[in-house]
Amino acid sequence: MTPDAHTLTGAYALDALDEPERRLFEQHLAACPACAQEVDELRATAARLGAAVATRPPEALRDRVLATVTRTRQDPPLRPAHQPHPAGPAPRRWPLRLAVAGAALLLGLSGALGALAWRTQRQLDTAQQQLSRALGCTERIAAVLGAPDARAVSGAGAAGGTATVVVSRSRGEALLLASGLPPTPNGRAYQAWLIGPSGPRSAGLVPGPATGCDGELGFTPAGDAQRIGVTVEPAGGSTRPTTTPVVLLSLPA
Amino acid sequence: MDEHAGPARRRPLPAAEAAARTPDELLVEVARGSEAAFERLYDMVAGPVYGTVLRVLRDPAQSEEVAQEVLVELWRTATRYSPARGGALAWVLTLAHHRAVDRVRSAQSSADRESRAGALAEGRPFDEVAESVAGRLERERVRRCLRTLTELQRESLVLAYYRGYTYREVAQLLGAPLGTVKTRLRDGLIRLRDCLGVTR
Repeated sequence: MTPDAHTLTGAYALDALDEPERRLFEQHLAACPACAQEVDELRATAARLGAAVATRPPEALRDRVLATVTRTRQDPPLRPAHQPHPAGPAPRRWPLRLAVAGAALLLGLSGALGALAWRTQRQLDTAQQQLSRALGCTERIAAVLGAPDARAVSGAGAAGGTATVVVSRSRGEALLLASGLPPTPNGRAYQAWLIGPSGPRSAGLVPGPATGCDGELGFTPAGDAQRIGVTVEPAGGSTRPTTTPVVLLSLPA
Repeated sequence: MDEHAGPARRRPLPAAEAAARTPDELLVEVARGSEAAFERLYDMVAGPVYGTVLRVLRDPAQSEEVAQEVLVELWRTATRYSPARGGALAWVLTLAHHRAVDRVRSAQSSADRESRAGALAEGRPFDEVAESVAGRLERERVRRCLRTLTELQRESLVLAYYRGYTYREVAQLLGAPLGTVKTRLRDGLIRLRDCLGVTR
């Protein structure tokens, strides 16, 4: 693979090559498995840019598409022995009741990560570790969002960034989602506090960028807590907040 | 061990389980001709497909047309989908982006595109109101990861993906050398890939 061709994987994955160059690059791709794998990954990445701008289509589109599908013949498969799932552990079933909204989010992530699991048997173990690590936060998000009584409140951080808190009273679960907060100094971490009439109570340390759950903290909303705050604390956490909150939000009722 | 979804199942799929099928699982049923599975798949992917196309084309009527083509193609070619290629949602969004860009490049004169460039130079990638908390969260993740890119990486990516420009056009708009933009598109995507955990 020439260095130049390698550089084109990005532009190709973004459909940013013009036609002659695209054709040339596709010829090259056919002979370059390393490029093909990179293109796959970069396309899946570009697709996340698309998923992030999901927009509700007009209702008429649904009717038209479904009506067209009814009278459209499907192409025959390319390979006769189509294996829907490669051999190996069965895909896990989502144990949670999800609203469509929650599922959409979950799918964005698990679609991308799930694809990994299929890629090669050799990578299965690593992929599953990544998957379960990411699912730890994603499942929780999906569960809270899927609750019919999920309510969200957002606000700006005092030093930049935003935070959203989502609460489902029926499930007794809540989530804090912080993004764009300034990085904490070495040896420090963000800690969340539930604040009620009896004072602040720790809701836990907010996971950092190294965790795969960056800025996403699940917690149990105590009955009397009215607000949630986030402060910078020593990495192990404090028993009481020791600095001024960088985020302070009222919990949704 | 034999888990055919169909009338032969001993009991119907509980609603929660049915709702939680992944696009990949649904696509397997679509490939076997299930219109019901396609309907569920439609509800999961139509928003991302339409949003992606709308970003590039800007015109709602044209976007609807292209989205329809893409979604019908999803049905027609479900039989040829190979999971190894990277997830059903990624697959259909790749198709959607490709078709939108084709439409722009075949239908619009370069003069049109120049004026689009002027109108969009200040455009922000996420200026629309999210329609659901879930959408907002996915958006937040991507936004967060875009912030980890350099400005040139981010601008190049946004112009290429959301505006459908070629890297030559991106270079022209940003007044940057071609080679630099080519490299930034790749570096930027790689950084985004690692940040979003799309990777190996």
